[in-house]
Amino acid sequence: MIILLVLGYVVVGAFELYMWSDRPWKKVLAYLCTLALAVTLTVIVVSSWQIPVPQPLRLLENWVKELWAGGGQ
Amino acid sequence: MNLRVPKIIAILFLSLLLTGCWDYKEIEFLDFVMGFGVDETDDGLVLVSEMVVSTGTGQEAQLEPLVLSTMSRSFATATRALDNPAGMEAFYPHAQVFLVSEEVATSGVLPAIEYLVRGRDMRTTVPFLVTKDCTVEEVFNSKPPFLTSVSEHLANTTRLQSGLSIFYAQQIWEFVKDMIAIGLSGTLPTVQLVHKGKDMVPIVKGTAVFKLDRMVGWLDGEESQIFCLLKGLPQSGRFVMETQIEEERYAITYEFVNNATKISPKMDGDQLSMEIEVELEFDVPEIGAAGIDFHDSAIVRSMEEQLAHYFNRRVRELITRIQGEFNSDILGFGQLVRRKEPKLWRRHADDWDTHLRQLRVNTEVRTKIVLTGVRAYPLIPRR
Amino acid sequence: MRELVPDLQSMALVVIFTLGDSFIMALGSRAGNDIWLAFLLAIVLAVPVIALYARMRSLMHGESLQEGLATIYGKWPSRAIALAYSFYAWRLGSYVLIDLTSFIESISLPTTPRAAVATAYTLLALWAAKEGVEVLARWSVVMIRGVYFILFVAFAMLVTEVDLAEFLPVLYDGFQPILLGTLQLLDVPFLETVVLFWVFDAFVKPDSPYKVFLPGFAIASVFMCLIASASLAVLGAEQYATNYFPVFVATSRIDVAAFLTRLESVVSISFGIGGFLKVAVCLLAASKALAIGLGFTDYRFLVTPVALSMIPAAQWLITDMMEAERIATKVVGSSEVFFQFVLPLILWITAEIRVAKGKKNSAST
Repeated sequence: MIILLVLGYVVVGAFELYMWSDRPWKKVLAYLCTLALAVTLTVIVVSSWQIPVPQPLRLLENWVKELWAGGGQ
Repeated sequence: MNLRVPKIIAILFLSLLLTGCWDYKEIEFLDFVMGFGVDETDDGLVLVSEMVVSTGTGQEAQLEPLVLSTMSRSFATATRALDNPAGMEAFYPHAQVFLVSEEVATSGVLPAIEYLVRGRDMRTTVPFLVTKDCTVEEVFNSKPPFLTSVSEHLANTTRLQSGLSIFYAQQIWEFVKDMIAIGLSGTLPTVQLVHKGKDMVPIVKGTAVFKLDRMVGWLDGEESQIFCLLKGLPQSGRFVMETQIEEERYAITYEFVNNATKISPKMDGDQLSMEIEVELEFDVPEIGAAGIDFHDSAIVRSMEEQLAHYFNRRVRELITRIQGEFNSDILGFGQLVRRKEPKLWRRHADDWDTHLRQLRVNTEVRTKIVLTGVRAYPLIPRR
Repeated sequence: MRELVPDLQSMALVVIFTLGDSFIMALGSRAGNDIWLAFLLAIVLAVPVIALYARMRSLMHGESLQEGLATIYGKWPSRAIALAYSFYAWRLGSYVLIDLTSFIESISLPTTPRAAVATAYTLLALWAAKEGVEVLARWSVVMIRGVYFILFVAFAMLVTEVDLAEFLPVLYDGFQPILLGTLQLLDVPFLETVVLFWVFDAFVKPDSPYKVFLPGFAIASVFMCLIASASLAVLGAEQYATNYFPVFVATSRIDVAAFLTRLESVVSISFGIGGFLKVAVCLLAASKALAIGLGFTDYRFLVTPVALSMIPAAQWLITDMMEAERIATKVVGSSEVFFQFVLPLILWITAEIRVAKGKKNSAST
């Protein structure tokens, strides 16, 4: 399943790149990086790895919660 | 580059996805449930469904009801378990009526209705009734005189509530709303079976009174009429009252034309009381041999007074039963106090049951005869 | 390439975006039966913040979003801001996607895989985002009539079932529930309008941002207030707060003479329209902000990968309906406060100072 999905992304990526009229390397790089992120996310979801969602602002939230008990949820 | 072809393919592909084909249902594999209900046994609940069997095709097609039942530990599993004897998927959204037996109602109706509120394939806009002195299965197996389906018969009857005025019709959601509301208890109409020749015929009459989710008592047909009045339900029912006309008593028929009820909490110092004002307008469609000339305002006033007295007495009797025997706030006194006198409610919310028992209720019934059929003069036979 | 959208079309976009998918949820449910007060307070509080977004866009008049940001904040800070908002819009888009899919899953299509519904929606949004904001705005103008009609009919029909006594007693539990309800409303959906800051490339006139954002928001929020209050008056405060989709349940109660019933599907249409537009707009904003963040003038080439990442993200960020409901009805979210209020406030103050200085400099030279 994972392989199939990744293959799907590769096909979409290749097709889109083929359709571009010109291919400056910066654009191609940005495109591929973003696509790689999408692939990573898909792999995370489809595979059974339970990777928690990072929450950098959670610390701040906890602090606010302490200030005003019952405020946040 | 010409992108038309990929675009068309994309549209076709998208429309394919939007059909939701995983949940596609063939109508041939669905069995429409006309009505369903819950009986209770020691081992669990019994789901009884009245399904439709279609026989013949085209002009000859006929829909025959078929009653199936299955026992299960929960409602949700029972709905699926019925699919097996039926050999088709039972389809509930078109059900017309939902019944629970007396046993289910007395032991608490919540387990029987929770799924109806939560489940996605259930609708709560379905008339909800309690069977009295019979089981749900017996009701579904009874023989209504005109229609073949009991569910259809009951659904039609509940629609006639304002004309019959001997029950207070409730849909599932209305009952649930009353049940979970603060300072208000729910009621449900009751179904009984009566003999008609050798057949049993289901009739809707009377009201089951609930406290929380348990049934605590019954109101008969006459009490239900008063209950409907106090609930402010528009009435168009007819009734006969022995009326004193000058020296004689006659059985005169009255018909409700208009009715309005106002219930309001009243504070007298620290003492709370409820004021019930009922205004009734009547037609007199039949006087029999009474020989009343309705131009005589003294007679009309006397009739109005007797009506007021009669209804006042019945209202008082009902309220006494509600406060004492049931101690269940089916008229929503608590809700009214909470809405109109929130400060007072805050003090009494925790022991409202006790307060309800002792609450002073003042009633006032005003009556007026506004119609007398199509004539004011009586029919007088002459030599 | 600058995309200019007439004010009226942009306003239609703002209305549908603000209504979005959220109007069907239990908005402001913490306020109990004082929900209308919470709505009024939230509208009053949201207007200055939205005016602030509009003011920032107004300060950039004459330049595209990218140029404007660079002029005011400098090259690298503006890129960092854009990247941050790209992330925010991407996440919001994923949330909307999950709302849509969970709604469809819990109401009508339980066995259809979520990914299938999400993919269908995302592909449509992908196409729309590639066509750009002009097409979306024009689409909104066409669709808004339908949305108005549906919401109006739904409201009018709800009124037949309304029990106004449900709003009594007013302020039974004091002011705190109203405050909680207001906060619930502010972060989702009212101040999500911040995403729209990144969608429009340029405006027709300097005061256009005000004419677009404020009336658009006002119309949408008043509609939401009416629909939510009517639903509450049909269901009662208890049922309103405990159902996932109270508006949907309330419309299912509509019964006009046993003839006009089962109208909830009509409300779902409006939900579908709003949800789709919101996904498309978030996708557009995410791609645009990402392109600005990475220093590209064109954003279209980034739409596909961003869209494709939203499908798995929708399932990664939220895995169940309870979580989706919590996010839609939470009181305070740290990231929402940051992106919707704190950051815009800092940006606005900086912008005012920079622009004032710029004017002084140009006046002195």
